[in-house]
Amino acid sequence: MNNYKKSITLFGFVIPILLVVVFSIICIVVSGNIKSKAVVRETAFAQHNTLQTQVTKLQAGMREKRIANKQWEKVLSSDIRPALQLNLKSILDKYTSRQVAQTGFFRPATLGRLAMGAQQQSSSVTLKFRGTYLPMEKALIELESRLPQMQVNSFNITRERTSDELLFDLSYTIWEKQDKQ
Amino acid sequence: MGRGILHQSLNFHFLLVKPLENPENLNAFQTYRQACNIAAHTSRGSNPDWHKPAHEVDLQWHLRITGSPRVRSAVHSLSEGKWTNGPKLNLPNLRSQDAIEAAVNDLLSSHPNAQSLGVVLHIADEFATTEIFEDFRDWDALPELNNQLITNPNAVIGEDSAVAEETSWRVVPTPGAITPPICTTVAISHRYAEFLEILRQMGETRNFPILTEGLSAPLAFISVLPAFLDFTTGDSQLVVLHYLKFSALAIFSPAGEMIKLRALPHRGRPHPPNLSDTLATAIAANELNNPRIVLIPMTATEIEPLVTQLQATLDLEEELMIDIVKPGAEAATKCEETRPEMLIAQKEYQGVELSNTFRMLGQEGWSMQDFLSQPKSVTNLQPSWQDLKLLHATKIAKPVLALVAIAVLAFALFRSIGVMTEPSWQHDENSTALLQVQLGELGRTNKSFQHWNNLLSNRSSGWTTMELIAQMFPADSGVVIDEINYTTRVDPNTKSQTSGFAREWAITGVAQEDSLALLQKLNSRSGIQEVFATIAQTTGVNSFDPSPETRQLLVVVERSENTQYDPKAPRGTVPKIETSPYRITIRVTQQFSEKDPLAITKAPQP
Repeated sequence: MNNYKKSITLFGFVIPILLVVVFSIICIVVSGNIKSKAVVRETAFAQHNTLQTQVTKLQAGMREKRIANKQWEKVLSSDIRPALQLNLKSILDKYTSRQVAQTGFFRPATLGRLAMGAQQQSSSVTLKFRGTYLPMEKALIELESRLPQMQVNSFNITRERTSDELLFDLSYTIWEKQDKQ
Repeated sequence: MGRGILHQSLNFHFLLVKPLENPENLNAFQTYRQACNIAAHTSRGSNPDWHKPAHEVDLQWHLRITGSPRVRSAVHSLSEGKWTNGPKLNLPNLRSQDAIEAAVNDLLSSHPNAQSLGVVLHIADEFATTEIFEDFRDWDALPELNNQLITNPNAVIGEDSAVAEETSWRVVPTPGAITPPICTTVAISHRYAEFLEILRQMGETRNFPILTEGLSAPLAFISVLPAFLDFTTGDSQLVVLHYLKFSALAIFSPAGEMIKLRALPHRGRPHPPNLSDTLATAIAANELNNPRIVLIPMTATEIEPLVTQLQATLDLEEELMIDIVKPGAEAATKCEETRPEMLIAQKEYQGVELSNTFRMLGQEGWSMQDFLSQPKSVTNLQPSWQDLKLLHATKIAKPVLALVAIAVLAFALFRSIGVMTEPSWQHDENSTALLQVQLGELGRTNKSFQHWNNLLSNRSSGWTTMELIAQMFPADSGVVIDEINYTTRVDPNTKSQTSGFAREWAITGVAQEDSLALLQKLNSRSGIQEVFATIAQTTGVNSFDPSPETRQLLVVVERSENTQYDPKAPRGTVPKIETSPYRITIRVTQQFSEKDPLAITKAPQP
């Protein structure tokens, strides 16, 4: 092969073909990378959409739930006694001692029945009252509405033998909020 | 024009800006550039005639020089098979560029459609033969030997370089040789090289192929000898070609094979000296029986005196016949300027089928060897026709490759743009991260809500128990209740995440007779369910809703006699123990399975 043929073959065919091959490889690799990136992004986008759907679904009614959570945050505590006594006092102040009178307040060391098997922290409280039926019912409505964490384990109503008054003996399980460490 | 100036001009192409360089001295890119320049600025890439020998192009100008001032000049059109008288030139004109240019102009003006011009110079004023390869007998090596003589004569002949520069040697095969060598070497000087160079430079200047060849006239004539002599008689023949300054003796075997070729210089005389002795020696040396002697006058010189001399001096045992054959080309060509050697342009006169000698001389081209060819150092400057065709192919290949590149680019762009215009491409991953944070926060909020909503649901409260009792036994029901005992219990021993539970109301008291219908109603599933449904509706407390399948409601009403009953006791508006004949015990049990929405979660605080 003479010098002309060598140089023409080199610059006329070999180098242009190599350039086109290299250029093609670069194009295919770059577009392949873009395609791969697109697949990753599509997956991420699908995940985003799924998340968005989940968020949208969760957000529905979330305002009410947040309000409820906030309200519960206010009444839930690790120790019910101060709040309970404060609320009892303010409620009982609305009634005469003949209508409703507190006769007992105990805090047994044992768990309330309703807390059996539950991992949520709780305590139990026994309250005793003397009074008439309707004021007692109203007082309980108010108390149990203010402190919804109080769930009745047992409730015993008996008559006072010497009068028309009734004796109310309530045992509560009280769910307590566990302070995060 | 001096020889030095001539060699400088060889390296310069008039249409190119730069003089051509030997590709061996250039790098690959410079060589490629030079080839591109030649293809772009000359017709070498488009006119294949540039790359043909002069005797193969269509328009041929044949000149014969015998040493007399007159130069025979004839023009042959290969395609038409026609001969015409050529431009008139004499011997001194061959050194005049103006005269040569005028002749070429004259010739080309009468052939305006010519693509090229082949100038064939038949050199008939010198002819020398030497026997330098005495033992050479390898037919296959003959072309290689000839090639060495052309490219590097000094190495083969061993003479000094000055002689080698001024003389060309070419091998001529002699297939009839009985003993080695099987060839003869013919030598011709370069005295007409300048004339042919002027013609070639004119071609370069005009960008018009003017090809040249310097042929040995005797060799050319020998190849067309069968057109003038009968080689089928079975006689050996001694053929003397009589020129002005020399004669050439060709000895043929009975089979028509050339045994020997020898130059017989006239040495200033009209005829070769001692021809009789030469012929007698040749006949004896080659053991020819009764050979035929043929004298062929190739010029206008009178040859009869030579015949007379031969007949008188030739001393042989046998009486030989001496023939004179006067070759005329005019009859075949219808052109008075043509000479017999010029018939070599027409293959039909070559008689290649007669013997190996004529096949080799004609078909293989040994008789058409160019004694005044350009040196390799000059011809190597130009790319060959194959090189230029290859270059032309690259001009086609490059757009094709460019199209391939564009197609690949378009494919890549289409593929890339296609995916880049998708909404997913614009997606910001940070927004997903934010969404995940938001989802986590919402999840925690929701989980917290679910947890506390479960625990804080009204599943067991004091006031609803009191409301239930009031609903079951209105003031005028005729029932006096002594005690209400409400209890709850949880069944934690399930694998579920929640615990089912039960609540029970145990109510004891006394009842008057008019309350029996109520007690009967309460003692039925529908009756107690009606009461629970009413409570659920009026209080909004869902735990009293008896309809879910996860809940079960049971009631048992027991009635017995009241031992404290006194039928005589006065009856008032309010029923009393003494006025009530029955003691009653009512047990209402409501069970919630672990699948009930009010089942107590076992999960810890989120």
